[in-house]
Amino acid sequence: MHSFLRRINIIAECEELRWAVWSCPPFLFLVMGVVTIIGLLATYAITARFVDESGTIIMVSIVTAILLVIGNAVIHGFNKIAEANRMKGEFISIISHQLRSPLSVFKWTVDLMEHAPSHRASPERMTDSFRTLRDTAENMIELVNMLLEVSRFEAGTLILRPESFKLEELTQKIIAGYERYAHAAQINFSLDAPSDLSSVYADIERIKIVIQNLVANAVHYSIGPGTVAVGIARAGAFLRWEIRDSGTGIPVSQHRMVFHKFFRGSNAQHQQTRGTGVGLYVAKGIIEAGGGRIGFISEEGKSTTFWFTVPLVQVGVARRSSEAHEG
Amino acid sequence: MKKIIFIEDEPALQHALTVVLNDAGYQVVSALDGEIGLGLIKKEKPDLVLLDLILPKMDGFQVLEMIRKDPETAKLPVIILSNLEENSDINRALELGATTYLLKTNYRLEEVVEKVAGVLHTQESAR
Repeated sequence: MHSFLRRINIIAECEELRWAVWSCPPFLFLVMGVVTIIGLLATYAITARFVDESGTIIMVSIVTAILLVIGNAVIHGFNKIAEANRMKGEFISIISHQLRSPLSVFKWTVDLMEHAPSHRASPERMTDSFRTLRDTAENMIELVNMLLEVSRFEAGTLILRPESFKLEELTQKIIAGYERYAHAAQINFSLDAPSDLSSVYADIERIKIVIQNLVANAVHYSIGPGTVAVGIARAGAFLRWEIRDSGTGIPVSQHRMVFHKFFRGSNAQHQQTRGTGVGLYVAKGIIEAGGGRIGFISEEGKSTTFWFTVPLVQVGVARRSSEAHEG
Repeated sequence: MKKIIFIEDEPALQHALTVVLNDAGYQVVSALDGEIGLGLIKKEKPDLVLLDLILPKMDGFQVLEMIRKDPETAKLPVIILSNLEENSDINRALELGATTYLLKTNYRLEEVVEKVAGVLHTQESAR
């Protein structure tokens, strides 16, 4: 009952969408309704003067149907634009926070290196601070790269440069980069991959972005102490990569939205603003452009497992690649 | 020696501020999430709390609410250190009883230490 009353409260809905009443879709729908009624009365008044009763009924029915279809399409379009605008606003707010976080690490770490006597006196601590600055710079570069990927998707200019590489070696390198943060959050990594796995044929830089996104999500949304388990296995002509966290899970009602641009799970927003809402959108775009698939299994309150597949090196491709090297 | 609980989930920020606060003569006990932080506040009986807002397990708003609800900690000074700059977040924190709200990127470490000293001084004078 409460949700029904909320749905018909047009002013509240407009406020939620942050739109002025006169440009707010639900209010426009009301206006459309009034226009429709006036249109129908006018149609009735005019046709009743020139045709008989059954002709009037048919005319009014046709006009009603046309007005309803047009009105519904227009309002649906308005609603989509309003929702997109709201999500973009939230995205800008998230990105500005995302940029502020590493910038505050830069600022305070430099302050520490410059002014704290106890810190300056220790070469180990100074080395540690340089490492923090480098890692933070890497994070910012990752963020900017991801935003550029979104822009490439939108413009349709994404070009993949596939090559042969070992997925498990790339995974190990990425995990090593996150270990420091994971350790502080009392999270352990485990990697389960057979030693005889074949190489995959994909754009290594793009797959790196996908794995970084999935590893970062698993670490940030895990509730430590816990384990983030990564597994790689053969699946036909593909390798299947998966990561299981010990996090908050994704509510079932939001499953279909997970790979949408700017989407962030309601429970994720509550706990972390590290996510930008584009990581999984980018991951899906990259994996599918390379001929693979991506998905997840989630249990709210327990864990989420994200997985993707990447094609193995084809015989012909491997031969061409080795010929090129020999040449 | 005055005791400060510092709840911050970014280890680099936690480390940096802890070092300068120690150098300034404060004892700092830190936590990486809201739940552990709240437990420490009850156990350690600090003189002041430095609180981030976006935290795992329990966010800073919830921690602040719990601090103010508990008669033992209701008057404890709480300085918010966050990068959330929306007016709605700032107003919410102040309405919940934050002593002051600092945007991390707008303050240098020594300025945060000065703010801490100022809040503790005001608290002492009020007694």
